[in-house]
Amino acid sequence: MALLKNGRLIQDRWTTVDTLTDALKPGGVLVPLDLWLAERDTLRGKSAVGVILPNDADPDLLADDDDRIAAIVLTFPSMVDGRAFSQARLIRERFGFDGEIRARGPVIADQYLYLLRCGVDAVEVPDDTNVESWLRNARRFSTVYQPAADDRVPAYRRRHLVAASAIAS
Amino acid sequence: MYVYDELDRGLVNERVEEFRDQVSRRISGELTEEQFRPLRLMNGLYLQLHAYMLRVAVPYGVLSSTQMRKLARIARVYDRGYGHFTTRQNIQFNWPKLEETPDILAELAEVEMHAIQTSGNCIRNTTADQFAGAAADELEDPRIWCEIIRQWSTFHPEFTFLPRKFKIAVTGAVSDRAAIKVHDIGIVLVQGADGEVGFEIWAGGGLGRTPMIAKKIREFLLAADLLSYLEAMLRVYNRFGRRDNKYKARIKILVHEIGADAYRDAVEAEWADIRDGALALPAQEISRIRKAFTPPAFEVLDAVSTAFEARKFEDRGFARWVASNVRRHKVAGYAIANISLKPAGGIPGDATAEQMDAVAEYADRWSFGEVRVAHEQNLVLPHVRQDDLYDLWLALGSVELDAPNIGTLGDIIACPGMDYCSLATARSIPVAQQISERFADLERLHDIGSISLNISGCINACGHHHVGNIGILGVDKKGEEFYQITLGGQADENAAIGRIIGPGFASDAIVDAIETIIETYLSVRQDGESFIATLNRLGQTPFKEALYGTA
Amino acid sequence: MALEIITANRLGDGLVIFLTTDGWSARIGDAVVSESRDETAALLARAEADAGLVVGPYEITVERQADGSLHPVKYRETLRTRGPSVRTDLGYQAA
Repeated sequence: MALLKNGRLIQDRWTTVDTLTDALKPGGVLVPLDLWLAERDTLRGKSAVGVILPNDADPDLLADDDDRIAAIVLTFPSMVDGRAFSQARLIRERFGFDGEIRARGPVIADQYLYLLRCGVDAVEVPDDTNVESWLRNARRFSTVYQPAADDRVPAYRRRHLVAASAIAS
Repeated sequence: MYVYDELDRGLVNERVEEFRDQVSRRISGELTEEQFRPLRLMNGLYLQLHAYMLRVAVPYGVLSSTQMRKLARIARVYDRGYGHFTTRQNIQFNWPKLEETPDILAELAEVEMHAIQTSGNCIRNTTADQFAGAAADELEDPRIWCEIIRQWSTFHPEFTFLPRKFKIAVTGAVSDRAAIKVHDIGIVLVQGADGEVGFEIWAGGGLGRTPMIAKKIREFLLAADLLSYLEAMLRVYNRFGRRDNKYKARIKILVHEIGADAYRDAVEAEWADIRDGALALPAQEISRIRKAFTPPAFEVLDAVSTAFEARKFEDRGFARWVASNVRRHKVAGYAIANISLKPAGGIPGDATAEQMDAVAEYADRWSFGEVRVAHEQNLVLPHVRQDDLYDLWLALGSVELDAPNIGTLGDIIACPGMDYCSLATARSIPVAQQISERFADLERLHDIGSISLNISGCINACGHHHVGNIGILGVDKKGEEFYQITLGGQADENAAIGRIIGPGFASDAIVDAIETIIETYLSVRQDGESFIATLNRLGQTPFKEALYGTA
Repeated sequence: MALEIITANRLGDGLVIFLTTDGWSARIGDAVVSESRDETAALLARAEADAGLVVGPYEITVERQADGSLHPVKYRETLRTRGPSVRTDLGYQAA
């Protein structure tokens, strides 16, 4: 698998591990939520730890740790199980998490815009992924109708910003 | 009507190009059917029994004459000359080709229409009172809020892959014609203590396998809080709605399992965090959208038109049509004209391209260019001068759209059933046709009076059989079509789920069974008592005995 | 075992088609008939390999009439093969 991040396919430098021993080896590790909750104090000294959040887990469990975690992995058991979209927004918007939020699972290019808008900034994808197809989907819509975790201004505000600035000038 | 600005127009055009791209990727093999299916469904494209089916959104049931003409053109050019109006105020075309659907969507975009989110596990077309802006019993036009919800829910990044489909209905009137209590979220416009218009919020209603009446979630919500509250409601559902079993994935199951109080608490807690955020609607936007629904330039007319009264006196056929199909308008001298798509023996909800063109023409001539689609699968001209009703009626007769049967036993709601639908377990349309033929006599039909009969061809209940005064559910019994009858359902402000009366009937016995029920009603009703009132007074016993004999 | 044939919808226009000895046909009479479970499985595998051309292949049970024609056993499949019973002017039955 590769990682699609910031518009490019990059090599994934993180290793997913299941045990504390492996987690304490050098390098960036992604650990299951349970391991993180059990070994939080041991793991917190490590600079590069990411936590894998099952999609039925409450993101609140990480609310106090967001400055100790470098990445949060959200899981998509299938492309149509959309619970992680809500998790992403809560983590980004409510906790103000500014590390990597990564999508793991069989999501497809046509969902990329939704992922980005909810605050996901990295997606695990097959090595032969057609990046252009993903980027095209991310850029496809010139208008959004609702606020989300990104900084795009919804139509109902944009319309009146234009009007207000026209009046002001 | 709401008119797209450049942002709306751009977005719909971009959607057409997105779907064109998706179709070509499916055909080239880049997308598998498993990947493509949810994408095509979110553009309303199903694969049915005989062909693809394209469901086009008619936002909250409102069409301009221009849009209606476009639907006629699509029926003619891309389909087989007709369309089917649905119980969610949409229209379905039964024979489109996959390769041509991007072109159909491009043509729809030219008239500010689309098929966005007409299927899939996302927020569907918001439905409304078909008399919005015309009804005499209306507090405020619900279309303002429907359009606001339409925009907010379009491509909502968080709520496009929900546990299951999600349907919202809004009414602004005392009589609920939008069946809000059998929707995932039902919204009623109400007046607050200080006179301000706000919303009463219901949730967890629905039909299908487990029919439920919605629970009241909030007594009063300020207008500006609408979107933040909806977002909180949807977020709680997206996170906690069941995904282990598709039949238990609707919000009604969540509300039922955790209880309305727990659901309300979760929503209120979520809402507290987002209420003052970016979802608060700017007042300028509310007033911009409100302006789009400014009433047309009604003339100042007398409350009673003598010409109209004289016509009713002279022409019994016209008087009958007026009695069943015309409703009171909020403006003096005007009327709401219902156009029945239920001729005796016809297919409920179907209209030919020629009929659509004719309705567009009549709308231009007599109703400020406006048409509505009712969830009962009929059309409406909302703003007709009483003086023009006679000419309208004659014109409707010339295209076989003058059936005087709105709200009667002839006005049957029926899903497409096994004649078209790949999910159906039995046919619905032939049963509707036989019943409407059996009761074609107008004297008899009007004597029976106000009643609703709804037919679904499977447990998914697209024909709303649970909320028909008489409901018929088609099932498969060892390879034979079999029909179960429920009595006592209501879709209005007194919403109720009908109860099964007894064993089902074979296809050659179901019409007789309905006739037995009707004859029983006629024999036991009191003066002026409707079917549902009689049933509620006497219970099922007399009907049961008539159908199955005394035990 | 009962006779079985494989049906699907054509990707391009969604119309009903049947697996033949060397491809697909809109006519049920052209369908290749299986008389065993193994044969049906093999035909289904062949049909599924055509995922770029067809959607949702599955097997249906048919009966061979005296005149040699094939008729689906289930009413649903008869409807699918002919067209809507309420619009006999449409679907294959119209041809």
